[in-house]
Amino acid sequence: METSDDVVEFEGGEKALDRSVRAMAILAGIALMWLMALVCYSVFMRRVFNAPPLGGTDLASVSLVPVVFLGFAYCGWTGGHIAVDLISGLGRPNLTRWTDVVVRLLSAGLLGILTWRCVVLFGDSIEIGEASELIEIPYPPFIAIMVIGLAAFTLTFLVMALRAWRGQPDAPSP
Amino acid sequence: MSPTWTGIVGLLALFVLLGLRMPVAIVMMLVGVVGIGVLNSWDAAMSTIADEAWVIASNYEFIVIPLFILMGNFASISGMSRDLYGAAYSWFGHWRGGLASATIAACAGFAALSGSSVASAVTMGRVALPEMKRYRYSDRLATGAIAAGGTLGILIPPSTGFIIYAILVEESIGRLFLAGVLPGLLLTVLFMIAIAIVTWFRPELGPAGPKSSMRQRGGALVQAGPMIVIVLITIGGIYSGVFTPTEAAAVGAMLAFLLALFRRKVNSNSLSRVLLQTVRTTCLAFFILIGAHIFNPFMALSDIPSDLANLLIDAELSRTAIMLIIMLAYIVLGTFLEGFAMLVLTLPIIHPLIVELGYDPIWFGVVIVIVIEMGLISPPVGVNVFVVKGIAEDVPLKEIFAGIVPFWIAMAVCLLILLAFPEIALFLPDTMIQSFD
Repeated sequence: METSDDVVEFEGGEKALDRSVRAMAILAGIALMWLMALVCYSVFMRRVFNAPPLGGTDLASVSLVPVVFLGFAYCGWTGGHIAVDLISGLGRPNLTRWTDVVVRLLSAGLLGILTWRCVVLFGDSIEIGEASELIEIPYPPFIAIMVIGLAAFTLTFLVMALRAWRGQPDAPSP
Repeated sequence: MSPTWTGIVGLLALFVLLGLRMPVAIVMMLVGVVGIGVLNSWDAAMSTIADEAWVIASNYEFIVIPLFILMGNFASISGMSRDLYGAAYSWFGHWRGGLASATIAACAGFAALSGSSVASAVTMGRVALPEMKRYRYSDRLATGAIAAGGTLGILIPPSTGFIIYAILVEESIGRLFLAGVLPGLLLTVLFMIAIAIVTWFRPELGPAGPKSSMRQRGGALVQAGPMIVIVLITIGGIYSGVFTPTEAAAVGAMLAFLLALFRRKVNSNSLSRVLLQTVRTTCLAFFILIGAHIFNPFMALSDIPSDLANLLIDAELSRTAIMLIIMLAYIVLGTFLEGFAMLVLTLPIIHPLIVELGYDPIWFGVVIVIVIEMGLISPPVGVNVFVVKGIAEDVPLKEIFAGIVPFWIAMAVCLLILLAFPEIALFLPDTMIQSFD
């Protein structure tokens, strides 16, 4: 696994954001361990007792939602999302600084729209009582997790835009 | 504006935004949403983004992605990389260039636990590089072997490259995994042949190490036994129809976790590191998948894929000539585009063409993954080269890139062999027990 010894100091609100996105990612990791155990248990019950747990697939499917959405902000905050770096080699740090500000604000804008659309999805889901097919696990709580994760993701891009504008470095890779 | 021209403008916007370092997934979402808005309706575009995000993140089949990543990361901390290298070393270490060959063999073994090329290069590099330095291997050969060996991570199953490809083109993950086995072994052998040729002409680049006794070899194999068991259970389970890929991933991750626990390698620090790394890589993959699922409908609406297919078919080129052009284009793209990005950006256009030409998409999946591997070690964005540079800080980048050349040629040879004999990739998937697909 990649490691980095770089240390970037955060203060005030940024420190709180840094801690929050890491805590959310750890929660996503715990959800993943649960998912691993759940699928193993289903396999065991099916193979050994020919009795797979009812709704195991439903439960596993919704358990994936926190794994994905609670980790987005951490991935973005630590520079995990893939970007094609063609202009930083041009040797104009000022150029990349300003393009970074614009690109991050644009990204935050799009993620803001996505968050808003998920809020709409959340409302619709409550209205029609959306739930999984087999054991009727209600979807709204999981859509709420999407909203929380995406809102945090949007916020990280806004803060990263601010840091780029100030010429401050991003959080290091784990 | 016609759909095709809207598509072309969209693609131009996509490349401009990519050039400005906007994350690939966000670029695809942005261009996809605007494109769908223009070609269909804004209501459709707006509902697409949230719906796709939900559908992707709550899909049972996609659970395979984080679980295989988790398995690889637990394998990394469990010390299996050292066992693998020890076993390979005891069998090949006494050959001329044998330590480099052992590195390649150990990378192939680790690739069967990890779906990531970067993880394979980092993990094996830390184990193998000090040994090769101890035996005065040339920096060029040592670093080249690690960077190239690491690329086997995305060819030998489990492979994140295959999973993403399978999801994007709606093929079976299990069949793609099995399709990667024989080409992966072929490429491993070709890498070892490349090392043998290099050290035949210049023996001083890779002096032979001491020969191990049969007892030492047996002991080293026993030490690597747990890894072999995990691979047999996961990949063998998929082949025999005992497990779906998702179940194999969960069982593999659990076994790797239990092994790390048994070896006392799990503590709060290492566990949180594994979880954070896994979540990070998982989110990277899912974000790109969501982006691709918003971008792909726009490409389909734009008619560009069908226009391109018609253009190439009207040019009356042979199937093989078109395939060679596609491979060449991918190799060039791979020199400056990240592999994942290349896959998601090009497949909406290229996949329909491949199907139109009558090529098997499973075979093409193997080909495209090998081309991605070539990109991983090609300048200027050869990710694995930079990863190896991080481990071998005293070796200049140009030395590492020079060390890559024989391995890059081996990959090109592998591609040509697969083009001539597609059965190498298709044999295992065609004979697998298809109780699950």
